[in-house]
Amino acid sequence: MDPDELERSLREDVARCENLEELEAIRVKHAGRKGAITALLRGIKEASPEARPRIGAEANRLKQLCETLIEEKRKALGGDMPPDLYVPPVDGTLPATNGLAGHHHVLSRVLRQMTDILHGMGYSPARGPDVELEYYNFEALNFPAEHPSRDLQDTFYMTDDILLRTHTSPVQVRFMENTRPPLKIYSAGRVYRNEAIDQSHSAEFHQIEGLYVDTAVSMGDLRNDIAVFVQELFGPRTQIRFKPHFFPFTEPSVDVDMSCFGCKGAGCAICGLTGWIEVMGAGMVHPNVFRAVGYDPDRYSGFAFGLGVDRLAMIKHGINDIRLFLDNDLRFLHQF
Amino acid sequence: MLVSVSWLKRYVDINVPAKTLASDLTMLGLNVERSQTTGVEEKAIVIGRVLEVGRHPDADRLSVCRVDVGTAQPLDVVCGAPNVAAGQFVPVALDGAQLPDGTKIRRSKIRGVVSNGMICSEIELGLGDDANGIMVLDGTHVPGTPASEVLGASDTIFEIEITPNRPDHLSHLGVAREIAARYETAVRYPFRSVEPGPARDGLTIDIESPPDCPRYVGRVVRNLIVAPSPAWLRNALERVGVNSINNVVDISNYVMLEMGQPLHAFDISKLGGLKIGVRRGRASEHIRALNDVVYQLNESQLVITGEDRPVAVAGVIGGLETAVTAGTTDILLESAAFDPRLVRKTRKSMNISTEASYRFERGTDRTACRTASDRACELVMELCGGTPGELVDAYPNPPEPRTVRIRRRNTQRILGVDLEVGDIARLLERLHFENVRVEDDAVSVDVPSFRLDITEEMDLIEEVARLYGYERIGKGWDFHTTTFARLDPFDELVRSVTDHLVSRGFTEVITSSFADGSEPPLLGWAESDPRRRQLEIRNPLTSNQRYLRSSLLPGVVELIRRNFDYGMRCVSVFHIGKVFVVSGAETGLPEERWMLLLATTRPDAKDFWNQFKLATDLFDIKAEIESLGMSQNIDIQGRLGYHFDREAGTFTYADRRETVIEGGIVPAGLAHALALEQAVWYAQIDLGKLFQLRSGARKFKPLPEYPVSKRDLSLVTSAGISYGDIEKSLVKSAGRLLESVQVFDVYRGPSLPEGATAYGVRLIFRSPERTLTDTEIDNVLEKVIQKLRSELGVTLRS
Repeated sequence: MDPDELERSLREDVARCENLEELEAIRVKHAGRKGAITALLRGIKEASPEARPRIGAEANRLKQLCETLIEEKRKALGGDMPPDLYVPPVDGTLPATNGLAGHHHVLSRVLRQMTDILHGMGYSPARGPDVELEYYNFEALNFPAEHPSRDLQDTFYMTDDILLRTHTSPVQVRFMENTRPPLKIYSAGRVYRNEAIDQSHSAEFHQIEGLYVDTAVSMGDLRNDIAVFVQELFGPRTQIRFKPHFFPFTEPSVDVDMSCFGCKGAGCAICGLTGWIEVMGAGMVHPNVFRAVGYDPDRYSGFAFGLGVDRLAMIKHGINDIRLFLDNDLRFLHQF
Repeated sequence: MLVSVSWLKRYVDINVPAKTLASDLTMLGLNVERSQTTGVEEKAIVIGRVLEVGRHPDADRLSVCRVDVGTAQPLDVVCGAPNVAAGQFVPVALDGAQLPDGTKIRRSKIRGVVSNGMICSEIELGLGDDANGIMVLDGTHVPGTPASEVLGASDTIFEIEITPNRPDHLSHLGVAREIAARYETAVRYPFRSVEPGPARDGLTIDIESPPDCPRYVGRVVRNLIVAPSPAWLRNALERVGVNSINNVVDISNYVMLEMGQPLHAFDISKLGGLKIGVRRGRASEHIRALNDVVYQLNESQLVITGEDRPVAVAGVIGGLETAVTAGTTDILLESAAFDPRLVRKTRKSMNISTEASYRFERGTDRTACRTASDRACELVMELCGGTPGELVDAYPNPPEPRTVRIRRRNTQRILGVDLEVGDIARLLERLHFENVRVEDDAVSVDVPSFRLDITEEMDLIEEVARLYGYERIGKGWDFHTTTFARLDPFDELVRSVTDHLVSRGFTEVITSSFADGSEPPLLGWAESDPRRRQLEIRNPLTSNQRYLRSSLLPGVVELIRRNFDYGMRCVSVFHIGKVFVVSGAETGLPEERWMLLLATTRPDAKDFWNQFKLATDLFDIKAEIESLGMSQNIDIQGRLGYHFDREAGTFTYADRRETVIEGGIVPAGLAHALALEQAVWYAQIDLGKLFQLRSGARKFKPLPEYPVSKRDLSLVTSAGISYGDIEKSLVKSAGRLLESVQVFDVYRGPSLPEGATAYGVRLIFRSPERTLTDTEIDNVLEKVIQKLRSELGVTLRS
């Protein structure tokens, strides 16, 4: 066979080879006793005396080449490694093994951010039931019976005095009944309102609220705690403002606005062109609430603030429909 | 409530633009939710007629319009709006005009062409939100007419959110009082007293129970003419959303919107007489009200009677029969005060709410009943003619003035602001508190009769803060928290479990607490399971939300089902939430259990190139439970007893008799009800109980010093014996030298007898004290094999 042809075939075979067994077969095919190179060498006898040195040199060169190529390939195929460590070549462009992480629900993500901030500010968690006594949900919070202030919160009733809590504030009363000041707590959880459901109203949503009671807690402290909380959540340059409002269980009561993070107060679609976004309600604990839990309003003062977790998550992430939170469409949940 | 700024200006000077007024009111607690300007004020905005529209020589988007504005020569005006066309009537702001936003219009060159004014859009006139092009007027108009004549005189209407503690804000005068306090100016009251006529009408007023009706002012007006109201009255009412009916009805509405006192007028000719009574309704009675609905009356409702016949439901709605109509000439004008709770109960039982009941149930100023009656009578005389007749003022117990005291130190303590007594006194005076007197370190005030909300010191502190300005409180403080929060260990468990499951590929879901009541029978629960009885809501929003859930499973399976419809076939989700179980607690409250539900499902199809396991099965969910236990340092297998129900395909892990975890394949009933087309596996974990199983700090065990010895056995069982039986037996018989057991193979097939299974089991032996000898291990093995054979009929496979 023509030596050039032989070399080409050798190189092709080695390049195509993918494992050590095959490589050995290639060695035998080319340089073994019945191999093509050996045959070439054997053919010297029949060649003319002038051609013999050239053929001999070619055959030896090919033999050398074969050894070199095979040795190189052997190393490339892991021939020097213990067999268990050898990894055959693969197509590395195939995608990763399918085993991706899941997702936190956007509400629990936002809630966790808030509780982390509150922990840092010294607020400890407190808990209460969803199914609540009318006393804790209304009466102890200074909502008199048959008073229009009860219309502020449409309520689901199980019996005359058992209802689904309309806010997380009953936890305040339950906690204060069993603790003496000073206290600094937050409570978070699900609340229920018997309201027609639409893009911005849900019969079930989530609230978080803070309560701080000590001998000289003032509205100034309230303003500062709210500012810290909002700035941690929306950025250090966020401004807040207090507007007088009414809640039966606080006095003075305030509505808290924060400067819009979208336009920095200039007015945009997020804030409805006002530059401000309403984020929570707050106020100084009403003396009647203190009386209901046996605290002396002349000795203690305190503040409370509360906000809707769902609403805040909507603001923060630009979600336009509150119903998405409990709908659990994975195409929604996987975005967070 | 809708409030007209021009109406407010009758009682108080307002020298700020409407926008500033709105924000000042908001900062006083009268939240202006919407503001709508009507009409045009600027005289230099006139109606123009577009004669021609030509192209601007230098700008494609501009046109040069020739506009007739009533002057001898039409004006050239450059306009950029796409909708301008010849023949239109449009508002034109002439040279010198000022737009509501303050912009001044000047004659100027626009790209080289002189423009003599501007054709305005709605938004430029402050009349709407439409910025897309100029405002085109309907009909034909005389060019040059001031736009105010066509578009109406300027006014701004605020929609104000009135909080339930401030019924005194439910009138223009009430709002004017706040404005006067804010701008330190006076209120102009429009009242003058009207002398009643001689007492010859025979009017009597009999109040059955004064607490129900603390005051009733009845007044006769005779010989009036019912007619349409004059334009000013019609406009005033219509701007704040009240339809004009006739002059008498309009006056009573006007006085209510002015002063906050609801009034009612009866036609005397239809009353039958002037013996007026205020008493509870009787079950035998009914009344056809002004809304043309007949209401059955009862003991818990208060009614007004004429000659002992119900003629109105007190504070809620009048009767149709005695209403003022076109032919009415003599009226009885009612100006009264009723018990707010009674009005609220009554109107709720009638399932209506009226402007009057809205005010009465929040509380009205009973001292103003007479003033309101005078005011209405004066207007009736002015607009309907008529002469005042007899007046009876039934007012059994006029209230004593209330005095409330506010201490400087307490004010400072609550507000964190250094206010002097003098400052406090001045702020309260501005807010119309009466007889303000400084006493040492405190201020005492008499509460004006319209401030029903002020009863104690904190109420005054709020008033001081409100007028002082919430904005000035606590601003610029350098605040450092000094307490340290104690993290709640249960919350930590919840967080840690959440994070663990998310990194295991589960997505968190949150579902509704409501249930439709159809689930309990579908969940395979025992008859005695307390979860079968769900808590019922008396007034549910919809019938499928009538109960509270006692399991998280139905809600989660339902959402998986829905996600199948969205094309998701591989779903792994978890939910941490409360379930409600009826309990025998004295309070009547249910037991609320925090549950974790995890569910996973995959189709029986290869959908990824190197996937080697297809559909999910029981062992996937068991793996999740054990891995969850490991992440929380809870030895699930060691601490809980496992039970598997072969028939149902479900399992439980129990702590003594208490189930902590249950799971398996979704019960057939539920799968069927939801038309589930792919097997879903789940586990439901009682987090409260799991929490109890947590170990304390982990304790170090010395590392083993001696090597292990492994022995593999191939054990053949007959039908009915499970791997669990084998493991239990061999762990027991092997004793403490056995460190662990692994099953490495399970085989069923033709080489075994019918129903038999072969398990490849690896036993790992180790002693903490020495290296074990072969003989020692062989002895143990022999014992193990013998026990397996005698107890379970297990044989060794040769």
